[in-house]
Amino acid sequence: MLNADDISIAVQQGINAHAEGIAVIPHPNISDIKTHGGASIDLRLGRWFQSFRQTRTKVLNIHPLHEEVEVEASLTKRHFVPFNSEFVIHPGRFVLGATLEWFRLPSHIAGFVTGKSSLGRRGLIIETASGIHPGFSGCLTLELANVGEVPISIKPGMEICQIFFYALKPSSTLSGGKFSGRRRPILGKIESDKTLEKLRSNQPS
Amino acid sequence: MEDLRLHTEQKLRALVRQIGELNSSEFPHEDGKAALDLILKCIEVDINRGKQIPNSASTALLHSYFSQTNLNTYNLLPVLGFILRSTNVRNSFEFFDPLKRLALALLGPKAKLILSSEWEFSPMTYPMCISQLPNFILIGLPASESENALIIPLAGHELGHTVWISKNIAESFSAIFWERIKAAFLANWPRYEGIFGDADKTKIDTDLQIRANVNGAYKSLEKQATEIFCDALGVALFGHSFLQAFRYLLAPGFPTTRSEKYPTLKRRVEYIERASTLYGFSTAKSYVDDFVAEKDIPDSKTTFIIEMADIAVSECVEEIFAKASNILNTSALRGPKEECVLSVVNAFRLGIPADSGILELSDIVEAGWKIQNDIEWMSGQSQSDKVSMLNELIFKSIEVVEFYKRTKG
Repeated sequence: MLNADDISIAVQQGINAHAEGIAVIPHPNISDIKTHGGASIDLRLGRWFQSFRQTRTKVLNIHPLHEEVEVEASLTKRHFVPFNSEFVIHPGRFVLGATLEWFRLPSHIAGFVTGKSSLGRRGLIIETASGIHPGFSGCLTLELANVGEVPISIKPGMEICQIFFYALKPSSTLSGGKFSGRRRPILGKIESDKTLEKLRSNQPS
Repeated sequence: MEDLRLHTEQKLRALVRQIGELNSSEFPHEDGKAALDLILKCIEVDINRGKQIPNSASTALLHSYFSQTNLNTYNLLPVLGFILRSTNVRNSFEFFDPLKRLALALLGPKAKLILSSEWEFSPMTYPMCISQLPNFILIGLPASESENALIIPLAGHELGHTVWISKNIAESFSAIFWERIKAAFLANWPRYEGIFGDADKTKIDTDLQIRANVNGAYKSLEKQATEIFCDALGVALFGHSFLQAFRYLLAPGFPTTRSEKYPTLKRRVEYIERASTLYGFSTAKSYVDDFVAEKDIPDSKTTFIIEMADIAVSECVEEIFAKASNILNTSALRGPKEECVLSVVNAFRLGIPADSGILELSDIVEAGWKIQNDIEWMSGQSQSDKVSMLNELIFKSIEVVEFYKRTKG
C-alpha cells in the first residue's frame, strides 16, 4: 500500500501530467498529504446526485437479460445541488453521488474507497463497491446510504470519503480506458453473464 | 364590473399559487429563486393596488387596472416558464458560474443571470428588459444542445444584447447611423425614384414619405448593428470558437426569406471573420461558402430599403468592432490565450480535465473545439463517444476553475 510519501510523489507526478502519476483534479495540497502522514487522500462530494424513481419502479431487475435492459433515465432521477445547499438523506434511503475530484490511475496503481469514520458513526455509508481498477479515469460514483435513525444532511464540497492506493504489477489490458470517465454518478451497465443466461435457459442439461 | 374585479383577483391569485409551486423546484443557483421572489412581490403589489380602488371608481380607471394586470400576466407567464425550465437537470449547470462572472464584469455587480434550455432552435435572451426583473439577464440555449459545451460561446452573443441596451450603445451610434443611412439613399437616388416615384432628395429630412422610408431603413440598420455588435462581443470573448459554434448551429442556413433584422448569413459570417482577424484570432479558412443565401424579399420596396441598411451598416462595422473590443478591455476581460488553450488541449489528450484556476471559460471551450477537430483524438471510437467524452472534460474543467476561484485565499 502506498504511504504518504509515495502518494505525494504520485500525485505530484499527476500534477505534472506524468503518465505514471495519479491525476487528482482538482489536486490536493501536497504538503497537507505529507504533514498528515496518513495513507489516503480525502475526497470531496460533488454536486450531482441520482436517486431511484421509487413510485414508477415495481422491481429493479439487477441482472437483466439483454432484452430487459431499461434506460437509466427511466430508473433514476438526477439532481444538481449547488455548493451552498444541502442534500438530505433520510433513514433507510439510498442515493448515488459522485466525487468532486476526477481521478486517473496509472496502470500500476489501484485503489479502494472507504468512508470517513466520523460520517460512518453518524449513519452515513458512502461506498459499497469500493475497488478502483488501474487505468480508471473519471469521478468516482459513490453509493450513499443512511443506515442511521435520523436524517443526515450532506453538502456538496464536503470531505466525504477517502481513497487508499496500492501498487501492483501492470497488466497488459486495463479496464475502462483513458476516455471512459464521467463527471456525474452513473448507474452503469451490468455486464452480460453468459453462464447465468445458460443456467436460466429452459434447455435441458 | 364587479365580476371583472373578482376575475382579475382570481387570475392574480392563480398566478401567485403557480409561483408557489415553482418555488418548490430545486434551483441550481440563487438568481432563479430571487427572480421568483421579485415577481411575487410585484404581483402582490398589483393585488393590493386593486383592493385600494373603490367600487365607485370610474369605469375607465377600473378598465385600466384590469387590462394592465392582464398585460402583466401575459408578459410574465413565458418568463415563469423560462425560470421553471432553468431548473431542469438537462441543463449543464456548471457553466453558470463563469457566465455569471462575465455578466458581472460587463454589467456591474447588480447583474443577475438565469440560464435555461429552451425549445427554440436559436439561442435567445431577455436582456434586462423585464420590468419586474430590471437587473436580470435571461439566456436560453437550445434544449436539444443542452449537453453540448461547444455552443457555450453563443451565450456571449446573447450577453451582448444586454450590453447593447444597458450601455446605451444605440444612442452612441445614432448620429453616425443617420449620416450613413442618408448617404446610402442619396447615393442611390435614381433607383429610389424608380421604385418609389419622383422625389426631391433635398427634402430627405422633411418629406414625410421619404422620411418614412429612411426610418424603415434606419430600423433595419439598428437591428443589424445590434446583431453585428453581439457577434463581435462573442468573438472578443471566445475567439475562434465563437465562429465554430455559430457554424455548427446555423450552417448552412435556412430555406427562408431574408430577415430585415439581420445581415444576410453570408455577410454575417464575413463580419465575424473580420472581427476574428481584427482581434487577433486566426481563422485558418473562411466558412462563408458553408452558408447559403437566403431567399430574396419579394417586395421591391422593402428590398431597396433593406439594401440601404446593408450598405450603411457595412460602413459602420469597424466602429462596431472597436466598440465591442473597447468594452471588453474596460471590463478587464480577455478572450482565449494561446498558452492557456494549449494546457487544456494537453490535458484533454490525456483524457483528463484541465487542472487550473487561472483559466477562462474561453480557454476551455477553444481547447474543446481544437480537440473536436482533431481526428487523432479518440481515433477508432464513435463520434458520439468522442462528443460525449469531450463534453464531460469541458464541463468538469469549468467546475474545477470554479472550485479554485471559490477556495483561493
